[in-house]
Amino acid sequence: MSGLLQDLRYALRQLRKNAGFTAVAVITLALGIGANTAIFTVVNALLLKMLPVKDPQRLVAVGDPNDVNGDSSGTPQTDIFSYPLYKELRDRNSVFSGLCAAASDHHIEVDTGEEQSANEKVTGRMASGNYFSVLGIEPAIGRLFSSSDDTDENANPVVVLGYDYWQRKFAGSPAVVGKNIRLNGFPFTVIGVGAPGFEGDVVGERMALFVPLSMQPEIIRGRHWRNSPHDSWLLLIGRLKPGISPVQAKANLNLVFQQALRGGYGATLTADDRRAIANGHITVSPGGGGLSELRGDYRTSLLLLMGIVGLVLLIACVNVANLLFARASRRNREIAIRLAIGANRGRLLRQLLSESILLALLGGVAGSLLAVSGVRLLVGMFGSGTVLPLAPDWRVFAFTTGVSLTTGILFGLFPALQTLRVHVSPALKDGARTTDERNSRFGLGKGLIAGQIALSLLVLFSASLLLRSLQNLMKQDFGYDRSRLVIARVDAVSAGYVGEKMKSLAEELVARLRNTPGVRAATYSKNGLFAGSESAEEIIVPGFNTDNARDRVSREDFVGPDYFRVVGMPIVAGRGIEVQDTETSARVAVVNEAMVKYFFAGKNPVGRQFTIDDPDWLDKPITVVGVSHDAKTNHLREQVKPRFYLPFQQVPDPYMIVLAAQVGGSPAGAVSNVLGQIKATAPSLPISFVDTLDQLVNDSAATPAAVAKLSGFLAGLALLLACVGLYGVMSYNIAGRTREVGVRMALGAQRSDVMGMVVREAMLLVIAGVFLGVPLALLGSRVLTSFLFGLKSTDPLSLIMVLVLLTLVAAFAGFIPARRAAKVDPMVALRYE
Amino acid sequence: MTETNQALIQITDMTKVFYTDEIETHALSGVHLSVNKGEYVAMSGPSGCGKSTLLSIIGLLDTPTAGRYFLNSKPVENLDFAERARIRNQEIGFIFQSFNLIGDLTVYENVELPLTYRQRMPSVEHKKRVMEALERVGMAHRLKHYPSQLSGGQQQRVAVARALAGHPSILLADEPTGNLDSRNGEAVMELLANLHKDGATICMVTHDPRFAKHAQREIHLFDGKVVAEEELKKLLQETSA
Ligand SMILES: Nc1ncnc2c1ncn2[C@@H]1O[C@H](COP(=O)(O)OP(=O)(O)OP(=O)(O)O)[C@@H](O)[C@H]1O
Ligand SMILES: [Mg+2]
Repeated sequence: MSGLLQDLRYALRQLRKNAGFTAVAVITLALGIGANTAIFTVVNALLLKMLPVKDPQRLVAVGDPNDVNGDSSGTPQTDIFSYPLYKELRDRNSVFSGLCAAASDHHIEVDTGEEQSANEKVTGRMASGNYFSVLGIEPAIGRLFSSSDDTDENANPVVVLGYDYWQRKFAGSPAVVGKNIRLNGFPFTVIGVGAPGFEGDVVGERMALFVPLSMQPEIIRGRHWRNSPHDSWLLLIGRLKPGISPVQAKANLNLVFQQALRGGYGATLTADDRRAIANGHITVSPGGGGLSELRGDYRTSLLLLMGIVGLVLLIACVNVANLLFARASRRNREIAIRLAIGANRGRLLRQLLSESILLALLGGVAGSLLAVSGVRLLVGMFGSGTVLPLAPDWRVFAFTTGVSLTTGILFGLFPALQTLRVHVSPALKDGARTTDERNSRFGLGKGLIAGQIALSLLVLFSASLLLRSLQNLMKQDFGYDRSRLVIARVDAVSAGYVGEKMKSLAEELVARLRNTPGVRAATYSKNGLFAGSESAEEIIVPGFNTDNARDRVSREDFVGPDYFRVVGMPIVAGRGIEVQDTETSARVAVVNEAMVKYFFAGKNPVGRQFTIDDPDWLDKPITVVGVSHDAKTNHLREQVKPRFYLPFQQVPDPYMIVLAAQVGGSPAGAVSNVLGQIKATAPSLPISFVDTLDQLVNDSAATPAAVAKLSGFLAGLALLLACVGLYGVMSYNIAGRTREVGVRMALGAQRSDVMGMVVREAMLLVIAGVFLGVPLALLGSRVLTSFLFGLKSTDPLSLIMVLVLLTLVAAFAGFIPARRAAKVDPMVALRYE
Repeated sequence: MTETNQALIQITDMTKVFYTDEIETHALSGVHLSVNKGEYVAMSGPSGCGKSTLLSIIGLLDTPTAGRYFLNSKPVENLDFAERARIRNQEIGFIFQSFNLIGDLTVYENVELPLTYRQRMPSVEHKKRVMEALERVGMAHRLKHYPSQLSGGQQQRVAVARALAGHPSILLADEPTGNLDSRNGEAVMELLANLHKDGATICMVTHDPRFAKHAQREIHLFDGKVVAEEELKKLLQETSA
């Protein structure tokens, strides 16, 4: 132990003595370790952290844990659940000690009744009566839900507050228990506060409050989901009984599900619905980390970035190793003396290693500081208003420490061994007979540089593929002009607009919008463009036959008059939806080209008919009156699917309204006008968002954009580090060859000859690196395939661009020592050493 | 006039002053020297008297502070770096005390080095010259060796070959035997003497009076000036007294 202390003290002295070396090494390591820590912090928060609940390892998520904020009406689902199906699973399974259900809503307006505090919109979780007991959460004060709090629709107006929200809004006052507050205007009684630290079971969303599922109609107005088998809105979390594995749980749940289909639950469904979900599989996955919409989105991206940032760290390690190599040769004499006076090599190795580990730990500390702002930057880049639990925990600490120690050994071991290989006798003599006996030390250093260049080539190539994919993604043809549109979504149902009332509201809104300054034309639809919703129907097309109902599904939208002209989707045959298509006129549809291809064998469908496979529609055949150009509607990567457009006014209950305004000038400037007009038309109408289509599209590309930009940044860092490495090795190499350069000049070399020689040597390393790096890059980039768009993972143009960039930057890095070499005074040749 | 034309090197009233940290060192103060074609001149004198400085100016490694220098009747005291490099390459062959072979080049490549800095010389010619030079010094059997695989005497012979390969007008040697034992030193001296016999012009700095005897003419330097032998002895006695 005292030996170790002594080593550390000695190491510290060495590092202090070589302040310049130490600074460069620590900065290099801090960049590498900091970037790793930053990304790991996010990985940890999103993928690794456990919920602060009892025995989180025993929890499983039932259904698709990514679909936290999804809801679906119509055909029953098995990735999110209806309340009746949840009840079946909860009551009949034999694998859980408890199975709870929950759903989020982001727009609960809270009125605490206090005059001075304005109403506030918070995110709350609607949860089953056993929610807290299944998770094992204790109340901070008051009590939490029990099953008697979750009985009949609207029967239990009670609310549990989240600890943070209670602290923030009620200053942690215990008097809050028993207090009446209004949620979305409806009175609730506060019964208690959850345990500190618990903010719900959804990663990235902090729940301010919890209400029983039975209160859904007051939280999400205008909908009655509670007893409907057709409305799927719940995700489930189960606590496994002792000895039960998730696989067993899954088998049991699916068995219960099939039994339920054949029993009373199935009896509430139509034969079609039963058929549709008969093959549905309920999935069970680890749930201790909580549910998360983000996790599915970001997992692969984060892991990819983790990989890239790991490569950057490796490059940083090589740099520090090279610095140590350079220093090792300077310390030959010292080591030789130590060996000569009888130090043993093992002891010296420990001493040298403790120095490099100390360096790495310093780098780790500096890196952790960098990581703090790095994390902020990272989360900012990924956008989204989520609040991840980013506070570093033991895992982040262990990761950073582990990475630092590993890097310390990684970059320290070889130079240390190299140093110890010194032979005692020649190092103590001096007087070299030749200009310079270049030995394996240079060979190794240069080999490392070639490796480093190969790695940075891989990182650069990956980044260029990702960046060019992003470019392709954003520049692709959407099928309409997206630069002139402002999109708005309003929540008409919760404001009480249904059926006819909703249809006239839509007309009214559009009429107002048309007269708004800056707005050229306006229209409305159910789903619209990049507004985040989608709907589909099974249809029957005479002449199109298939056994499986799922094979005759088409997307749909309900659109107002003039829709195609306003959003700029070309009509390629027939006509669009017009004012003449009213509730009483003949049922008509416009279909897209994908639908023509799939359902009508590519033949002109104008004049042909199809029906929607739904009891309400079966007696209302729809006539195709036009064909629209294919258009991307929700995702940048989507393949355009078959879609038909019905007149909004011909649909009994269109369910939602999305407005689209075509503007003359800048769409961003028109956003507030549009917002103002909607408010003026219907003051009580909740507005989900008003934004330019461009912004919505950008938002939908936030993740690929963040990944591309971050990898671009990391590639820049990798390139910088590799070039600093190249520069360092060449400088060091040339500094040791002053005499050789002098001799060459004495023999008649021009300055340009000398510069050429050095640059050539540097470029030789680059070429060696490229030879290693190109196959590496082409192999490594295969990992990226699923991230790429519009190019292959072997894209030659990207590779050429990267090679040119790398060569130019490397040439510059080689040019500096070359210029220094050219300044050598040939007189050094005469000097006797 | 005729004398100037015959002289390969003609130096008049040359001074060289080094300025370091505000200290002026007068390394050469008013040196006159002429060396004719085919002459073998030895330069001697106490340490620090300016021998290497003079040699480096003769070899165009350095420029004088004042004075004139004609090489092959051309004034060369004020040439720029590139021009001096070109003349060094073509007219001057250096032999150094510490051999100065380049460690990671083979014997062949070391000897070829001055030729590689010469434009438009076909590689056949390279080979012919290198072989010729190596045979001249008796090292043709060690083409592929690296300097570290040779003895000191062998290394210096390779260095002589390197100086010869460019067919220079003059060989400049600064203590070529300083790093060698007496037997190897003797061999190198013999080599130089033979080269002189075959017509080479040589200018050599040496401390060793035995080796100076190989030369036709001995020049004594003292405190930056050329002095007669007797004068040197007198001056040396004065300083030691
Ligand atoms: N680059 C330089 N800068 C400053 N002073 C110099 C420089 N080169 C030589 N001198 C000085 O000029 C004087 C002559 O040096 P020079 O090397 O010519 O001596 P030398 O006769 O070759 O001696 P030695 O026999 O020891 O090699 C010395 O006083 C030396 O210190
Ligand atoms: Mg000297």
